[in-house]
Amino acid sequence: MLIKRILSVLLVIVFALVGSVYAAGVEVKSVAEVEVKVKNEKGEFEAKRIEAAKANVGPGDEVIFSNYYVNNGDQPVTDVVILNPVPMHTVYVEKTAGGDFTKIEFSVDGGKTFDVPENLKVKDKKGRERIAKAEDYTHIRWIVTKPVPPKEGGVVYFRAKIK
Amino acid sequence: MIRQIKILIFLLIFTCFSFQKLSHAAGVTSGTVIKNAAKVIYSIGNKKDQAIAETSFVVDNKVIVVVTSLGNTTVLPNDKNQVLLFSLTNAGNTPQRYKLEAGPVFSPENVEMTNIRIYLDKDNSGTLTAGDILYSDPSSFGDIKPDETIKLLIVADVPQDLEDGKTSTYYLLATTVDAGTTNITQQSATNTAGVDVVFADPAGVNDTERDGKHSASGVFTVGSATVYIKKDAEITYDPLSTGQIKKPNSGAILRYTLTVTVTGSAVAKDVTIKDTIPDGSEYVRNTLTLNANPLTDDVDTDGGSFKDGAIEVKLGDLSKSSPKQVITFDVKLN
Repeated sequence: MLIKRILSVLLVIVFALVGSVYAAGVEVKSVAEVEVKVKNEKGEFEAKRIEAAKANVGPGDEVIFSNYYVNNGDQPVTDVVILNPVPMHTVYVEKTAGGDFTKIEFSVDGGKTFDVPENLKVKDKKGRERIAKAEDYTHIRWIVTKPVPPKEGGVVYFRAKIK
Repeated sequence: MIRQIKILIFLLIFTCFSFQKLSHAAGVTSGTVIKNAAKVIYSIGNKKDQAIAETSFVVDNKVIVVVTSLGNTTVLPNDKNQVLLFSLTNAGNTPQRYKLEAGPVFSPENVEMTNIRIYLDKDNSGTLTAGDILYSDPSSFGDIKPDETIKLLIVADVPQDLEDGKTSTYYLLATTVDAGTTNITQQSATNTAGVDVVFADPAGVNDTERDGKHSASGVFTVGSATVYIKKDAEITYDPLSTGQIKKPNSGAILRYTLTVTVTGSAVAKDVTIKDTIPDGSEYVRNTLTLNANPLTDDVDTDGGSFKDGAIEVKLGDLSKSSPKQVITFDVKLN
C-alpha cells in the first residue's frame, strides 16, 4: 500500500516537472564579455568582444553583461520583465543599460523598489538625501513593452566595472 | 696675512615627498568569481512563469607595480651611507614579492657612487636606521599585499674628490616575483578560465610598460661649500710717528679686518669665526664690529664676544649669495 502511494506521488511530481518544461515559453542565456582591441586585416585597431572567462579580466576592467531571451513556446508571452542584480564586486557603468522595446529602471535598495535614475535618491553619511549615482545601483530591471511572439526574443544588456 | 679655511658643512637633506595618486586601488583579489544572474518573469495567458540564467568568470591576477622616487639628496665628498628614498606600491590585486636592482643611469655627466645597497626603510623614517633591512633576494622583505606600499632606500657611499655640483643618478628597478617564492612572475601565455597573470604596469625610467617591472630614479648631487676668510691688518696709530708713515712700534694700534665669503652650491651652516689675539699684543676693548655695527665684548645675543684671549663672531648660515661679512677689531702692540 505504502509503495503504491509513494509511486503515485512520484508520478505526480514527474508529470508536474514535464508539464512545467512543456509550458516554459521563455529561455534566457546570460553572457559576460569584454571588449578588446584587435588589429584587423587592414592593420587598423577595432573593438572585438570576447568571453570574459577566456579573457584577461582584472580590477578596473569593464565587463558587458548581456541577457538573451527567446520565446520557445507556441504562444505569445506578455508582461516580460528581466531582473538582474549588479554582480558582486562590480559597479554599474552609468547609461550603459539598454535593450529594444524596454523601459529600464534601477533599484538602490536591494531590489525592493525600482525607478528611473532621476527619481532615485539615497542618503549620504550625514543623512542628507541626494540623487543616486550609478555606483549606488543594486539591481537593474527591464520591462519589455510589447508581447514577444513565438520564436522571437531580444537582448538586454549593461556594463559593469570590476572593483 | 691671508688664511683660507675650508670648513666642512653638515647639510640638511631636504626630502620632497611627492605622493603619486594611483589610477585605481588594487581592487578585487585575483581568483574572485564574478557571477551574474538574470531572471525573466513573464506571462502566457493568465499563467505566470520565470526563467533564470547565470554566467560567471574568474578575476585574473593583474600585476601592477609602481616605484616612485621620493626625493633627491645632496651629499658631501667622502660621506658614507647616503640615501635616496623611494616607495614601492603593489597596485595589483594579488600578493607579490619583488626582485630589486639599483644602478647608475649612464650619462657623460654622471659620477658614480660606491658600495650601493638597497634597504627596506622599516620605520618609514626616510633615513638609514638600525632596524632597516638589507635587501639580498626577493624573499628579504616577504610578500607585499595588494595596495600595500613600502619605503625603500638606495644607500651609497660618496667617493672623495668629487667636484661641487656633480650629479649621480641611480635607478631602482622592481621586478614582480610570485608570492612565497623567488621565481619571477611570468605572464600567462593563453587566456584560461582560471586565474591568468596579466601585466598591467606602467613604463618606468628603466623598463617598458606591461613587463611586470617598474623603475624610478633619484639624484645624488655633490654639494659643498667653501668658506674663505681674508685677514688684513692696518696700523691706525703709531705713538712714535708724527707723519703719514706708521710702523708697528710698541704701543701702536692695529686694526684687523676679516672678510668672510662663501663659494659652492651648498649652505654653510652655523659659521663661527674665532681669532686668537697674537702674543705680544692685546685686544682693545669694545672695538669689535660686524659689517660696521659695533658688537659688545660680552657673551650675549649679539653674537660677538671676547673671551679667553680670542674674539668670536657667530655669522649663522651663509651661502654664495650671502653678502660678504666684514669683522673688524683693534689690538695694541706691547
